[in-house]
Amino acid sequence: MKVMLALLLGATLLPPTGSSDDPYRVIVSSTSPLTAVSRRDLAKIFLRKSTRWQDGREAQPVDQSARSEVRAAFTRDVLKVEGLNQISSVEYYWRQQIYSGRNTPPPVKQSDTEVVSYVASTSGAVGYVSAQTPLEGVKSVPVQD
Amino acid sequence: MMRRIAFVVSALACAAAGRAEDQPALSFHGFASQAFEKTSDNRVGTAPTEKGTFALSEAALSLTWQPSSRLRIGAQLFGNDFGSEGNNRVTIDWALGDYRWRDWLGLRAGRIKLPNGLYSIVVDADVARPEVLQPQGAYNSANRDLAVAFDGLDAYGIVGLGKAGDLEYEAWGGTADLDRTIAIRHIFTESAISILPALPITQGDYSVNTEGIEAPTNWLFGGALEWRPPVTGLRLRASAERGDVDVDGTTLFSGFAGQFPVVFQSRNQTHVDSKVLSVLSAEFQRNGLRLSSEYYFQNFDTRSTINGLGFPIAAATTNHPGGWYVQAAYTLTPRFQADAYYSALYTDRTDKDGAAFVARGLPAHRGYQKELVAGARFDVLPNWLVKAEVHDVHGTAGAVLSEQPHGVAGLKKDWWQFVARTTFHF
Repeated sequence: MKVMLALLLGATLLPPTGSSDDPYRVIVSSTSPLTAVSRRDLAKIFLRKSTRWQDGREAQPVDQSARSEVRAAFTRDVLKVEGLNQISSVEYYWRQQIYSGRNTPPPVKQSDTEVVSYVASTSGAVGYVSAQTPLEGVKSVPVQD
Repeated sequence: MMRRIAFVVSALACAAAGRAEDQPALSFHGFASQAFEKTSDNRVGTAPTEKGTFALSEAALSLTWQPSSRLRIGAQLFGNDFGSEGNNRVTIDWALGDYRWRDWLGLRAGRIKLPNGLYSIVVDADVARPEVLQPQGAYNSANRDLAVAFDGLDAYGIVGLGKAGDLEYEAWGGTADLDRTIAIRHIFTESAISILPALPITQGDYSVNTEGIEAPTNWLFGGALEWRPPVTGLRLRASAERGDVDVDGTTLFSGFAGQFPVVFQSRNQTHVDSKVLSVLSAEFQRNGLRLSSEYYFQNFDTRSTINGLGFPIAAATTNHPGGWYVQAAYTLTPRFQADAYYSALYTDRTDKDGAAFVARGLPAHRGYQKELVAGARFDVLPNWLVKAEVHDVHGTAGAVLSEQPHGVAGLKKDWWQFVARTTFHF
């Protein structure tokens, strides 16, 4: 029991990682009233622990390919608050959810353009794209702690 | 059964066809895995692991339809083979409707995976965990069938606690049909073996077989609380359940009375009152490192009545199994993960040295099983993984006595186990 406690306590003292200048932008529809989003809320929405924005509207997250750089950056910077700052950890999480019948992951788009198109046309949608992606019908919202 | 499965699949397919533009209305997932297991001495489960066996396979196919963020309907078919268990019989692993009204309140109905501990929900999903065999200290594979799923209702939700983090809860209740569970058959067989000394005609070796078991769960309910404090990657969980089962079946004894062969059968009725089964859990996950530890304890009583032998035999037992483990898994590269754990399982947590077994003429090591395990997982391709692990084991609490080829005399206190598994998934 002492070993268990020592390992767990020691591990909680490890410093968090992830930089604040990751090359991605979080986007919502240009008609969305959102002006900013908290990192913790965003993480819960992408892990589907939350299904709604704070104002009660349905949230529709959209992911990018697990092999994309932008998803790796988003995972490092946002999902880290849930301890899942690596894509492999997130994949573990979703496999647990899928094969236990508890939840299913957000839809996955293969490019920034597809994400922009989905977010622009889907009520309550939220996605992330590379920093240089042209934004048409969507707007970028800052992520706050 | 197959009609029900076909109905579920076709209903979901029709529903999905009606809304082809939406995404992702319907999702398919599945896996198929094959393992090899070798033990130095003792037999694990019902496969001849002491000789080395490939009789270990699992496959699943799940289908989920999610018409909105609130509603989800799905099912998973599952089949496995482990020696004489499973035999690739297809079962409904889970099948449920899930309506999430608010973040703080959702309701699932149908066949639902039991949410005990951190990882009981992935007991059948090798692809969703780093190790091949879950730590026996909390996930005793001999009881696997008892800890899979229930039929009933499950209320769940997540509540924000402000600066104190989040609290997830779950409260559930229902029944489970345990007729075909190997664990119940083992409990039944072990109880029959225990009465052999009371029978004046049974001397020497007798074999005992059980058949025609009916084991309806009268009721089963439980709950879980999971606190995620404001420490990144930390979660603390407490889960518990109660249950009540009536087991009814026939036991066939065959052996010799002196030089004369003897075969007789009895009717065995056992009432199992599971007063509490609880798991206290902690997990910390950050930067590819996952540390987890769980403490499991259970109190259950059995009352058995055996008829058909010319005179009734009544027996009652009080049981206090328990165990714990601590595990570390580290993702070295996106494709390679190493893990190690130490696990301790006790047949009776109030008798960790097995003194009660010695008093009954059995070896003390039947009372405990402590193992140190080291393993690795390699994701060769995004849809193909390979795992292997080695167990250094002391004690035989997890070994099923009735499955040992040489009975209790053949059990070894110190032994090892090697398991390798490959899984394809999508």
